[in-house]
Amino acid sequence: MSLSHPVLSVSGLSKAFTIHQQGKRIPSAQDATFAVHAGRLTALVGPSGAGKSTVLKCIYRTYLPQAGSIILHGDPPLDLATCDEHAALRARARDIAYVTQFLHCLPRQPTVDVVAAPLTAIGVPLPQAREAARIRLRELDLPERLWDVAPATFSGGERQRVNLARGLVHRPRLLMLDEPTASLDRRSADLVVAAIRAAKQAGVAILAIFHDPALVAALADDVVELSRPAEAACAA
Amino acid sequence: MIDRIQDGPVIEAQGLTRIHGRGCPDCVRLTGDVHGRNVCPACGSVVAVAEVSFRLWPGEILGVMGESGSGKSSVVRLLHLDDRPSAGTVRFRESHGRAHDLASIDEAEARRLRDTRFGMVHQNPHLGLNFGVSAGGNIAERLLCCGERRFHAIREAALGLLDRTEVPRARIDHQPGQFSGGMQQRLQIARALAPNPELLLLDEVTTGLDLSVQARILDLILSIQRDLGVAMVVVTHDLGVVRLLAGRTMVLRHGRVVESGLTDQILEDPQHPYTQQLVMSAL
Amino acid sequence: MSALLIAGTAQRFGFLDDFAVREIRRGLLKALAVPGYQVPYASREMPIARGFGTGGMQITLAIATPLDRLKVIDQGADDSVNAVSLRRFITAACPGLATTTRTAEATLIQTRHRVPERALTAGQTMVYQVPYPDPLQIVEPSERKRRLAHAHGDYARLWVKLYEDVVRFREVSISNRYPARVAGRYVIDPSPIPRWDLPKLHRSPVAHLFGAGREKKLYAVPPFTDVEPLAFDDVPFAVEAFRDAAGARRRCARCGAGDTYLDQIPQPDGGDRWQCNDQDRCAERMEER
Repeated sequence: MSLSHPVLSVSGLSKAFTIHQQGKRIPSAQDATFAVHAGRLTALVGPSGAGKSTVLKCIYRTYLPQAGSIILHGDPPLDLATCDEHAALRARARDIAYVTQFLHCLPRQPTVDVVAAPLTAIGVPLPQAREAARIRLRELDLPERLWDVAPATFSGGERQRVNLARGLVHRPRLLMLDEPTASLDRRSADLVVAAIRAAKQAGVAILAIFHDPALVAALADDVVELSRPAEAACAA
Repeated sequence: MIDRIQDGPVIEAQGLTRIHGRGCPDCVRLTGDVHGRNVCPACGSVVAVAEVSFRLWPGEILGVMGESGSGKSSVVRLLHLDDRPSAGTVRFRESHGRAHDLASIDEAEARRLRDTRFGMVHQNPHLGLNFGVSAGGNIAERLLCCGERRFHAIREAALGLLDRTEVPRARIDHQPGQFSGGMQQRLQIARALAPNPELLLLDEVTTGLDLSVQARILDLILSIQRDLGVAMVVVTHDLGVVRLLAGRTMVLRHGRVVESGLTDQILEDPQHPYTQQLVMSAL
Repeated sequence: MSALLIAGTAQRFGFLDDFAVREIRRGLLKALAVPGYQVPYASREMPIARGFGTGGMQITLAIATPLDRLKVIDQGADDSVNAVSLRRFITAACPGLATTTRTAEATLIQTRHRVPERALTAGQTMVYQVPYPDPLQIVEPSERKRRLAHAHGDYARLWVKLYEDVVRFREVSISNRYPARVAGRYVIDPSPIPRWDLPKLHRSPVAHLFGAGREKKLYAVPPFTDVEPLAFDDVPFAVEAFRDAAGARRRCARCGAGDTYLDQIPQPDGGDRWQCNDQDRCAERMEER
């Protein structure tokens, strides 16, 4: 596969929330169009309220978009905006990783199992999944004494590395990052940035939101600017 | 497991409807969420569920959410063949490929499926366990239903299932009446798992238990999904339970599906006014 | 069917009216045709109370002819109060019907609690007085559910009872009424015969007819039919061993038989005396000696 091959093509993506109780319609993302390529990092930029996170959540199917298409290229290509739920779940399990600044995981689960979870979900036996998880955790320099502890007590930087390790463990084609270095100390942020670079090198297509313009400059191959939805679109 | 999806769905329900009473041609049209009722004004029949359609894939956990009277338990009763639909079809496919329409199955075949292919865990342990026999006996009954006739094999399998569900081995010959509520539920799960079922139905299994006990049972259910890949339907009124367990969720109200989707979508981007209200009141 | 009247009277042979005879015979035919299946029937009022053997007695009265020779036993004895009363009533209702205590001579044997020790021969008929016809009764109180379970061949809860027994006593503790599968299909309660007698039903050359008067059920084991006790593959069914402390087979204190079902009779000196339960067979053997 050529490195410039598009993994994801988003076109005309719009999302607005309808709050029935208040009779309100709140536009969030307006007509987003861009592509993400293998081995390249596309950064979404724009003012707060431009719908950057909304676009990621639409791609992940956490939000249902009103308009547009979200094509995950493959054989056959899949439109994540309209495909059925099982196809979306399968794309999540195999192709897409979504890493936010928060680590959402099952309580009471040891870190190594948290990281191994995406592999066991696609049928990899637990011992092999754990082995792969340990490799990722070592790459991200998470102290080994933490591996068998649940991440609940970890520092922000440790948690974020667990989060990223889990995102990368099953070698997704598309990695989505929502402010992965927010509120991290310098050393942790550097480790995360290094991991992102390594993933890019390995051919992963990355779609990212960074709070820090310096990171955009340092990591992005493509930059997509989103603007706040027009007021005219606000009429319910 | 997700990779088993290509085998096809375990359950495929189409237009599942259950009307208690005489029924009339207008029952379904005059009831449901848009009318805010499930009693037919024309004939007085109760429309427990109507036009429920869904698919359940191997290894998947489907959440069924709703308040009491929404029809969620009716769906479970129909799936478990404790009741038959007034209309609609439910296709159940066994792993070796044999498919059945549960809506028109005969009673002997229904018994076979209940005994060997399904597992059911009730909110009330008195419905799911035989309190007159030991914990081991409760598990043995399911194995005996499947034709196991070796005493020692039954004993070994029962011990294995107790280990699996974290019930101490030493309790195998105790009667469930001597167990704590959480342990009774775990024993129910052990019993349900005994024949290696292809469909596990869980009806409000954590309702009314202490939070720490609930957590242990939810962990157990997740590990069962991870290790055994059995398809499950989890009925609950608790958003926290579907959030933790279910990949997809179906929201019922007045016997109708008002919304269904990926669980995180239902929780973060609910479309239907009722779901929005439900999510907002919980958060 | 024309009524068989007792000579010189208007009294019917066999006490029962034509309709009752016809119904019971039809029921028995059905029971023989579907081995082990419990056929419901309208149990008649008899001059003895229900629960005292009316089911067996109705079968005997419905099938006996003046050509038969009847033996009635209760707990292996021909001379106990119940056996004597039943025999007296049946012979009064069936003039000309001969009686005997010898198993080999009888054509019709009505019994409670025992199958004779002497091997039965083709042409004889066994009639059992049954208190509880349904083996599932101990595990399922609802008759409707029991019938469904029989129809579906679902005996899992009965098996659970065996499981619980093995757990508690390391063996199946059922001493009598041991459930058995007939012809590979229905499981029967063989009436309160001891385990010792159950193998005698397996491929027996005679018809075994069971009547439960109070519960209004008839069932049967036809000749040469498989009767298999329910048992785990690795905890086999076993009859009573009758072994003494040293492990030797006990013998009858009267006739010396070492191959019969024995009664344990406590003695004033604190010891036990063991002797044949089947008194006629015991007497026969003593005569032979």
